[in-house]
Amino acid sequence: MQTVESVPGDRRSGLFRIQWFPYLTILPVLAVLTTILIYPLIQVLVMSFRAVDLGRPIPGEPFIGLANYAEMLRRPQFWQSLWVTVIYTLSVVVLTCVGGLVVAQLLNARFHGRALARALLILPWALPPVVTGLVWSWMFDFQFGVVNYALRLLHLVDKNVNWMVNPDLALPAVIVATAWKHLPLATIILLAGLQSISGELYEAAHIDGANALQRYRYVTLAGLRPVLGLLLLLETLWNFKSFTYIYMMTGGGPARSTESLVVSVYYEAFQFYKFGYAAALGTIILLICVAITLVYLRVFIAPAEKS
Amino acid sequence: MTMPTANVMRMGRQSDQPLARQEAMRRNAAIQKWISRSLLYLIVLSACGLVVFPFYWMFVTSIQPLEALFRFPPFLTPVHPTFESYVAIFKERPLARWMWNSFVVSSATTLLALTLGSVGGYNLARFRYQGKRAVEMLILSTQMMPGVLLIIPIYVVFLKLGLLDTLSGLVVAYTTFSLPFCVWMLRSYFMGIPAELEESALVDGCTRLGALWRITLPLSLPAMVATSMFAFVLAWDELIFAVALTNSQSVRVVSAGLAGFNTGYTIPTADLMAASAVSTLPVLLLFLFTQRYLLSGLTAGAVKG
Repeated sequence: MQTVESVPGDRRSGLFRIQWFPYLTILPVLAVLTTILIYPLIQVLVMSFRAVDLGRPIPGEPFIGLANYAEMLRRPQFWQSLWVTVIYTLSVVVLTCVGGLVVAQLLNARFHGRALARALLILPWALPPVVTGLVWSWMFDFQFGVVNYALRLLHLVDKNVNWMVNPDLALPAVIVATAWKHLPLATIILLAGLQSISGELYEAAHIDGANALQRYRYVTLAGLRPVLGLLLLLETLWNFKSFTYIYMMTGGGPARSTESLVVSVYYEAFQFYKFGYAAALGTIILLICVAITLVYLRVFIAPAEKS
Repeated sequence: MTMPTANVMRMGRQSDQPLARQEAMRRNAAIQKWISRSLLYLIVLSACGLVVFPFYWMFVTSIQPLEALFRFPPFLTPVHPTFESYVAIFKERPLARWMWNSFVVSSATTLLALTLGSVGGYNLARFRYQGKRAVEMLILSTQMMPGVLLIIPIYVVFLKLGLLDTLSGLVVAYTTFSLPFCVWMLRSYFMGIPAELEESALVDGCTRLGALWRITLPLSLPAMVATSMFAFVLAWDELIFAVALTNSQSVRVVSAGLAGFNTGYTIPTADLMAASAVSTLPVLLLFLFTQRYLLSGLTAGAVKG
């Protein structure tokens, strides 16, 4: 303490404050996160090793080791849900990121009405997910839907498609609705990234003899890399954990064919009251999300820090 | 800078090439430009059309009588516009109650998340202390947690605390879920405001809290607005906790109300779309008023990471 106090320009009161003030001010945030996130998380991890079934209560809720996990791996529905979740996530991520890149590039160009176009293209962000699900369900309606009308107008189909009843078409319909809703945020983030790339870089690349494709690859995409990496990670996690769109549009049907892992957890817990099994299923979702994050960090963050 | 060079080059070419060829090249360039312009407008227009159409369709559906809706091909413009549905949803359904509940929950969530988020974000932006890295990692790692995983234990905890089937329970849950993002966004924004501004206020006799209140908070208005908007919309939109943690009509929020709208044998499409439009309106208005701040507030956080 003596040596620290003798540092010139250091005020005693400031030194005293440094001891406790930072810890005191971070306390509220930590307290909230611990009670509502960390403590329940530990509880649910423990629950996943116990026999908890509110429908047929088992006295004492005994520890059953990995039995919940073993049952999960045995059920075909688990593998079906995993497959649905992966397809759904990948499709939405590709559609939003590629679509967002195209739209952001268009909005970065100068043209008449650009301000209006920007304002309009961000609108889906303001539509609540529940409403998005309802409106798109109505648009995909078998008998009276406007999507079927448009497809028949374009002669792409010759009779109405029954989207929600066909297991192969229900998921694509939900994917379209989700991508529509997610596009604006991707566009905003990528547009901000594009605008942070200095025009001088393009000039320099031009002088060095880079053609348009090379300029796109080495200036635009390279400049977007940090933003694009963050966007990919967030989009992947969000869609992997997404509940509302599938629940609202198909409810996991027909015959549980579009039931994602998260929708599965919801039904297992709040319809069949198999809390232990649902906890195990939820834990698997968490583990997959952690794995996704680690892979992204390796691919996008580690190389950026090296260079 | 580039203009004079381009002029010199053009003048140089002028003397080398015959006039006719030069004219042809100019016309070619003009045609090319015209084509790429038209293509740009075409793509932008179709993108705007795709984005706006569901909004338009929601509204058109909500003002049509049922017999005009259940036909194929559909009427793309309303034939007998009526606002019956808008009356019906308030008379026959507790939409006003749902909206009020959502409004209370979202406002309380916003207030709490913004207060806690400012303190936490300021802490992470300005102080250096042992264990700060761990706090940051904790906040970031919460983004990986699936909400559905936490519903089960939160259900049990709320049951014990008497928070089940109450609006306060929803406020507690939503504040927690929006908090990590709020802290992070405000942290990024505070870091962009020079600490020297606060230090000079301290020298002028301001307290630390006074400096935060008078200098830093007013300067970070865009981030404050964006953060509030984020928390409000998160609470307004959320569905899975709303349906799992509440059950009574008196505490039903609008997302849960809309999700449980189709209970009868016939689907009241016009009413459903009218209720959808009404429930979208507050968010849409808020969004239009705050759009200016939203872009600068959000993107500052996004780009700096």
